Amino acid sequence: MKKFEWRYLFVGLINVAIIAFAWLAALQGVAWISLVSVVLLAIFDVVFLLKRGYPYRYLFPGLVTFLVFMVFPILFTISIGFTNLGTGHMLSFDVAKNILLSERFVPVGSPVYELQVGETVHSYEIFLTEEQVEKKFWGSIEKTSGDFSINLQAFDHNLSDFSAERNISLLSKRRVYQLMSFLKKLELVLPGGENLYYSGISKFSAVKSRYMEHKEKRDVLVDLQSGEEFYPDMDEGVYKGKGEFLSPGFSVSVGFKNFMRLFSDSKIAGPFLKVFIWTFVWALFTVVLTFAVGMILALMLNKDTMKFRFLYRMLLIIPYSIPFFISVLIFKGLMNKDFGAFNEILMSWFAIKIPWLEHSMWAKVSCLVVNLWLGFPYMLLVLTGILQSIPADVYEAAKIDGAGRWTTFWKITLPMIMSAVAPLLVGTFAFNFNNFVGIYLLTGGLPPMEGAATPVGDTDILISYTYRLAFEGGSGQDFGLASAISIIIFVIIAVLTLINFRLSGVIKKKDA
Amino acid sequence: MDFYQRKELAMSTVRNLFIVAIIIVVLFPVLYIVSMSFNPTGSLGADLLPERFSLDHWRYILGLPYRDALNGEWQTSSFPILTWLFNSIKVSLITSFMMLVLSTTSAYALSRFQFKGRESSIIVLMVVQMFPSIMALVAFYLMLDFIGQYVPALGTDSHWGLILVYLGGTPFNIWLIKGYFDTIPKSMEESAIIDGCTPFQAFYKILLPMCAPILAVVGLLTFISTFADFIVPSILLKSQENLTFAVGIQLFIAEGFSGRWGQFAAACILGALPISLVFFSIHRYIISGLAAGGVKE
Repeated sequence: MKKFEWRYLFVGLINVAIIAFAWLAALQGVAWISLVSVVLLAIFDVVFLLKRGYPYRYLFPGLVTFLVFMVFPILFTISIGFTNLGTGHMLSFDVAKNILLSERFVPVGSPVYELQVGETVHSYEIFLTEEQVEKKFWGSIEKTSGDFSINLQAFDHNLSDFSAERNISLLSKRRVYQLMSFLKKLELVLPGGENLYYSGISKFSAVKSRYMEHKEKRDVLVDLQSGEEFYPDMDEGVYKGKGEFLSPGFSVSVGFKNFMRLFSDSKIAGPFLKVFIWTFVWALFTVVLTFAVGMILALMLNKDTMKFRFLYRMLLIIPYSIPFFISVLIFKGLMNKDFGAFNEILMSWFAIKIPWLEHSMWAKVSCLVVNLWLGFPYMLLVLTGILQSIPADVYEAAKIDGAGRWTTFWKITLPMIMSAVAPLLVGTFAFNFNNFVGIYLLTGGLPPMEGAATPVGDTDILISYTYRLAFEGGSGQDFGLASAISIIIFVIIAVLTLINFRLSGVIKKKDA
Repeated sequence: MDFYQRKELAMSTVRNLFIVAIIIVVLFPVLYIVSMSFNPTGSLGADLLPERFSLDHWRYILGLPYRDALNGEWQTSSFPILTWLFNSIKVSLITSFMMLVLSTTSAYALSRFQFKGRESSIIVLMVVQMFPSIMALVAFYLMLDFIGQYVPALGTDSHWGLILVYLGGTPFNIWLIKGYFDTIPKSMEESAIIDGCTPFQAFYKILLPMCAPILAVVGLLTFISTFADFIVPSILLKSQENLTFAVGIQLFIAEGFSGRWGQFAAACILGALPISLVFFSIHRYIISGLAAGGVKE
């Protein structure tokens, strides 16, 4: 008997799931997603059903997640860098146009109906009262009905008697407010044939469409209230009239405009240059400081004569074992100007207070000090490993030749470990170049830079600046500009990576 | 004792004192936080050595009733600190497990089979693993926001959405594991296949058990780095009960630094201790792994 092949069951289930997903996506109108999933499914089927696809079966799952959640986001970020995507420009042109076309207004003088909603087990009961002429209407809709049109009829009962009779519970204002999204969809038809729509909290009115597409000029909107014409501006992503523009705007491609802003708009370019320089200074100083301290400690603890060196090393590594975000937040407390432990100690010993996180220069020093604390154990760990790989007889030979400790370090130790250390240093540089936690959780990028058009501070590095542009709100989110900066970071990291591959010699080997 | 020996002894004492002094400076924040967590005063600027020993801050973060420092009434914390910790552990565990599944299989293909596109896959993986995923933050946010409109369980403010973003970071681990697979001779699997194993059985019954150490290290490293990540959950998660420990604790302390210092200290120890222990259990492997990879993450 042939063995049951679980593979077919597995492939079948995946097929059913993905086809259902693609079907749903198509129904929702996002055709490109169903297309992509069907293509991926086809590749999946080929790989898992044909014998020739065997090796790819192992590669496929990892590769797909890697493509979807790494390669695609990177490419997507790059494409956003060339648009004005952000607050007020989040939607595509068609969606924004349709939203404007569905906007309604209440013409002056048209009657306003006050709303009350009742609920039974199966239905909502709608009661309307026209205040000026005391006309009342009533309609009912099944809760499960997909139809949102209700035919109203004249209503001349007492509301409380009527609802008690029919087991209708009248809803509080609060509950009515919670039903708002449902009420907004309703179309109430008066006995005379006139349509009423939701026009404000607990109010229905005969509303009219505010905008209409121009009969001859495509995509031009006419304001039916004022008669003004609005033209889509495809450079700025808004509908523009005479001096006025409509909200919401839409996202458009802006070419290199985001980059131009970074380099020539004085209110953005000045701060950007400062952030750019500080990012390099920060990463470079961190590497030099952690390396120097790590090296000194590693050399001291590398001596066989030191008794407790294993214990010492363990204790010194503790800072590295604590998640960075926790350590940085602790330092933020310790460095508090008025109550922090550092200033308490300084006050009682020297009667001085240091504005650790408030003053521009001190804030930068603080960032570096904290990052030294976080980073030197790594250097200590790695350098210890590398130092131990140097054979002892090299040192003996140096000693016999009369080399002092200083000469031995500069002439023998350092050159010998340099080939192993150089890629580590570049790697550490690249890591700190994007060390968001080390900056953002300590200072939040503050103190703020003066005269900047965007939220930016003296200790901001490129990645924290990007984060603040995109997610810190305040003056709105600017995804376009944030992505443009991300592209610049990509380029820098790519160059560093190339340098690193050169240094570590990976690139020369054909098959690493 | 001659002069030379005495000089040596003096030098060695100086060296030891120097190192001890450095250790005290380095461990000061850690000791301070431990002391704060037991100090009933609990505000920023309290003395290093508490006058009284109290477990109130620990009761606070564990969600037990505690005595309020100001009015002496018994109450419980309104912050779900344990939930945050649980969320972080859940997300990190699932991420580590799925990461292992995805990266071991991929590494197996790259290490053991010859097929079209193998060389170029290796190069692409090698290059892309150097880019930290936080550079595509904007894209992650917009992608999940979009997905969330149709499948809320995978959108922003969901743990599965967060996990998916983390799973994009497989290349570095594929790279590490492939390197380890390459050092293991093929002969064992080959003889198993001759004995009637399928290549898949040879993979998980023979190769994987032999690689247990590297798998443990990759899994634990992924666990640590996921647990310690701040930036991705800070943009994706919104509702309080969904936050991870990193984001939650940052919000907790950002809102009231001086008043919550003691509770914060206790929470820090609670969150850091397990990670610290995991770290020390694998730190030897981390050195070699880091030396190969170059960066922490």
